[in-house]
Amino acid sequence: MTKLAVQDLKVQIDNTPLLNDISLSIGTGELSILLGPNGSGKTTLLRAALGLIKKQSGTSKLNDEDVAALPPSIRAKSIAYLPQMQQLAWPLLVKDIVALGRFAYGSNINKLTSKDRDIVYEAISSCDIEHLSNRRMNTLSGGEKARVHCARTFASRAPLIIADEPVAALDPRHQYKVLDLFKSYVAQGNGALIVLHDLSLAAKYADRLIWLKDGQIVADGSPTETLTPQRLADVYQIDAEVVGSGITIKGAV
Amino acid sequence: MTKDNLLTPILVFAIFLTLFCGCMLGSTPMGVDRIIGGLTGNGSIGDQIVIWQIRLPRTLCAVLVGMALGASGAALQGLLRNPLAEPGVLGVTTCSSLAATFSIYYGMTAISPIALPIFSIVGALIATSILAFTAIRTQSVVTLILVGVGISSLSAAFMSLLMNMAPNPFALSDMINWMLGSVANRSMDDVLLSAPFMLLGFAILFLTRHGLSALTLGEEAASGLGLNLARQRLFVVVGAGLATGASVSIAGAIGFVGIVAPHLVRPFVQYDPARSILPSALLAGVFLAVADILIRIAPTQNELKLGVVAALIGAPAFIWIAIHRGRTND
Repeated sequence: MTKLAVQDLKVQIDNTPLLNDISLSIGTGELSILLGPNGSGKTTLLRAALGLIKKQSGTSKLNDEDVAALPPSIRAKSIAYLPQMQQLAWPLLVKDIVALGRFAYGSNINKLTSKDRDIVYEAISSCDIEHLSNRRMNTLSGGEKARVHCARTFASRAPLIIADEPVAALDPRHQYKVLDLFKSYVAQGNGALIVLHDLSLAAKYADRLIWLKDGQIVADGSPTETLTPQRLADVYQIDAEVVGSGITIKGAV
Repeated sequence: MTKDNLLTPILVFAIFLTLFCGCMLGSTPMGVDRIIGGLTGNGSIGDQIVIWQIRLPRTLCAVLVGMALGASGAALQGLLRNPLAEPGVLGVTTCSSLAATFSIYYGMTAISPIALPIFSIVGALIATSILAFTAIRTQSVVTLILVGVGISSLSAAFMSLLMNMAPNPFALSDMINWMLGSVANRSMDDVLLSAPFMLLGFAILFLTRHGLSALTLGEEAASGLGLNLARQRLFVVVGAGLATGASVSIAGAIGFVGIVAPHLVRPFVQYDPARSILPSALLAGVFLAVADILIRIAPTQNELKLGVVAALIGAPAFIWIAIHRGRTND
């Protein structure tokens, strides 16, 4: 089992604390969703946990090894990181973008081994983008691009996935489609930590909700335990009703 | 797929064809039989001298300089994720020629001929390092280009200062020739002095090309894929510095070559920055050598400088790419 364990993590930039005493452990077998308002430190937490930015103190360990000290390719074989979508520098072919998921294995996207080609094809078909594989990325819609990036992430076959707002800017149908993909990836024995802004989606898909406010984790548990009107008022400063996994937002507090 | 596979062999063939034409054409054209005779050592002494001491080194020099600039351009574009990046535009060649001029001016080259490539390379490395450092701190392409313009202007200012203080008209004319860029009157020894640095730089750029494919996704996603960003930056900076610096040491400042070749190559290699390095280098080599042949046979009173011709073709291409950038990119 692969486990990423963050202990007493503290991050600050120019004397402004961004994260304080974060302790968190994510592993295979569950889909965790990280929630928190803008500026609460979600992206910073992901980056620091992956060792991509400097931390003030604390540790982040992948199976008892310091993540920041691991060679990037070793880390990438265990944790696939999907940051917020950025414009591509060049309009590559869809299949080449998915093949980049095998980068940590030293694969050359132009000359894939037959094993890599099978894995890439499987990822492409699991995300339902076979018909797009020979298209250029700049010809795709937002929903199609999001699925390509999912396929790329799945092609890494990493047991853990960390994704930063993978459904941002997608219409509701594509939001469900993309989260279904993550859910079935987790069902195959993997784990995922996903940042979301949509509370209803979070309530529907999460095995576990991690609530971040002002750089601190204020709650961590199943949706039934942690999703309450008080918590929504405290973390998001909204007035909301919670019935089962349904949330009705009445307005800002 | 067949297009990718054929592109490199075609360009390799074009390189050899250009080298051959470079030996044939000049103020006095020579026939194929005389070239073969001269190359194999069976021709007249005169032919052998013209080929081995004048035309072949000159053409070889143009090919190598083009290759170095083409590869540097393609690699810098991949690293900085920007089709407008190029050693000339980013001030790398100007900074390198400043250092080269400085070494000539203060007599370093009189101490040892190797001083010239060393100084040129150090100059180029200073510029590429500043650029890579800027690229870490800013995501803005505009900022990066502006820093390049700044490096270029500052180097040009120092260059003017050196010219201003030139002790005699001959030194001044030497410097101007240097800045205009040319491969005329280069000997095989000149080529052999710079070639190892160019080839080393080229090898470094070629070996780290796959990281450039990963950088297509952006720096954060690329490191998420397992790319060692710091190492990738270092290798491209050192590789482009070596290749560009060595090319300046032999041909002076020749700009814009590194922007045109990758732009033309990209559609044939599915826009993959890794696959564009080698064909960009080859195409730039052919381009520069052909331009140099045209200069030789053009009936102009003063022979045109290669750098001037390259800029006359390359600068409009730069403007065209800059205008169309928003449309072609994702």
